[in-house]
Amino acid sequence: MSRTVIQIEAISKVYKTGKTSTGSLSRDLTEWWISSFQKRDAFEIKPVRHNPVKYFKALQDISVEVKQGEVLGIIGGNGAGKSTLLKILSRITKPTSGRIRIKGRIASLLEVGTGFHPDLTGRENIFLNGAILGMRKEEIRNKLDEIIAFSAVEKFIDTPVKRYSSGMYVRLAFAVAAHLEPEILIIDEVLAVGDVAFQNKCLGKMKEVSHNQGRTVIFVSHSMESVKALCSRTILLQNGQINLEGSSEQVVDFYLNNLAK
Amino acid sequence: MNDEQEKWDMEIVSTTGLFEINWRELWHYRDLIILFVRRDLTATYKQTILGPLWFFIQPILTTAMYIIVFGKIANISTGNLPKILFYLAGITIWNYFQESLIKTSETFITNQNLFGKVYFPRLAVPISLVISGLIKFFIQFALFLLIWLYFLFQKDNISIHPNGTILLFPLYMLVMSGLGFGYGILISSLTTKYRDLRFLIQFGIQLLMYATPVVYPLQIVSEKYQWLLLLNPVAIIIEAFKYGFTGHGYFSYSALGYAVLFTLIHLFISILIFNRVEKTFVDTV
Repeated sequence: MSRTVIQIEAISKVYKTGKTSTGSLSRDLTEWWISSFQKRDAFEIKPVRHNPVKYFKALQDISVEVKQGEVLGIIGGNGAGKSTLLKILSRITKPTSGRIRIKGRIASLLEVGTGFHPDLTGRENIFLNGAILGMRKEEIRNKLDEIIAFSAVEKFIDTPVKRYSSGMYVRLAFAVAAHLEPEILIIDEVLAVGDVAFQNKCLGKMKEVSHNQGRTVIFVSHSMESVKALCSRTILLQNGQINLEGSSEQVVDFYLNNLAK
Repeated sequence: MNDEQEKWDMEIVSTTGLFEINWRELWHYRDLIILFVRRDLTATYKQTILGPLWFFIQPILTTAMYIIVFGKIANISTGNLPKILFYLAGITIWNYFQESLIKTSETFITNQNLFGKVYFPRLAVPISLVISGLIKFFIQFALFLLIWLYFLFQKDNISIHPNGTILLFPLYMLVMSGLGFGYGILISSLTTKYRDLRFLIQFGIQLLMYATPVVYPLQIVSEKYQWLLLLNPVAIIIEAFKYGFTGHGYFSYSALGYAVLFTLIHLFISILIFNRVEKTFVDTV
């Protein structure tokens, strides 16, 4: 039996809606003072408030376990909480409650070309982007040729990336991420760009990574075909909760028949 | 299965302790810090004709301007020091402080996209900014040294008397780095919620320069008020720097001790606040 590498226990995330503060320091301070020292609710003494605080539960009580070498798909409509879950997993923001435990190095790819600097060349950006994603310099240097070959932009590797076409840009960025060697890889919608040939190449790479190298992948996508092709198991999020969990085939069909209409 | 319980590499929970700063992780990302420094230094002058020469042009022009405005027009005394040396010393140090402060104070605002998409220790950004600032400082400091040496070995040199405290120069740089870094990350933490501070900082730093003996020597301030200026550790360092290199300026070990202590406490508090803010700033920025 393969071991559990990600254990998500009762994760919730609550956002305040409206403004995050009243926008004025003095007012924030007064409210903070009143609520923390006078044990009264700030709203009580100021009945007329232009901006009452409301709460929005982006995620409610999510619990999932992911095994090593598994490719887990996450699908759901806009605002279902997919990105919030990925952001918590990637440590970009914290959960409001709950706990996640992880074994191994985790790398997330929530956007292609994060941290690319337009004035730097493709080669310089490979190093920068790789380091941002947590690679050491020697690791990048060892894989440099492989990355450049995968991206298929050899000819322009010493040109500033601001001169790249968007396709080249994406290919280079994905190439860096694909050659990361984390035990766990989190991917959000990055295949949406790039031509069909490159998309297939990426899918192939991701399969190879999970099947042959035993790495775990969490994949969020709106492309039902990619999810079916790639993921062994899928969860369907709706309004911040898990609606259905099961084989990709089953969950995708349920989603298409019941929710996507 | 029990033995597996201890092997979790990472735990994500809603609360973390105030003092939980992952220095080991920061160390793992040292290559990133170096790459950020290189990016800052190379990207700034890409597509410019003069390139790195700008590192020199800026202090030279500023010094020329100060000589004209403060030296000739306002006729502010520079003590016994040649004007060019006096202003260049002040500008070189002050610029380093100002640049570290302003650049690091924008950490969260300018990187909100990056920080919203990928995790790495956020302290890597302000640290890299201070290091690249330090490299620029040493380039400009070389210019100062050249001019200083010129005056030092002039035949009729009677005004410049370097002394032993010149050896404290590395300490001065540490204190200046700490101050610029500390104020910068403190402001950047506060600006995630209150953007007002960004406007304040732009002219606040100008005002602070006039409250610091950069364009005038401390000794021309009436003795009754000197202590007030010396509350500012930056003033202590600038005066001590001038004293070490030229023998003119204010130096005392107790003032220096105060500046070091101030920096350490201030740095400690700023890092705690920054560490607190970085975990949730994506939701408030």
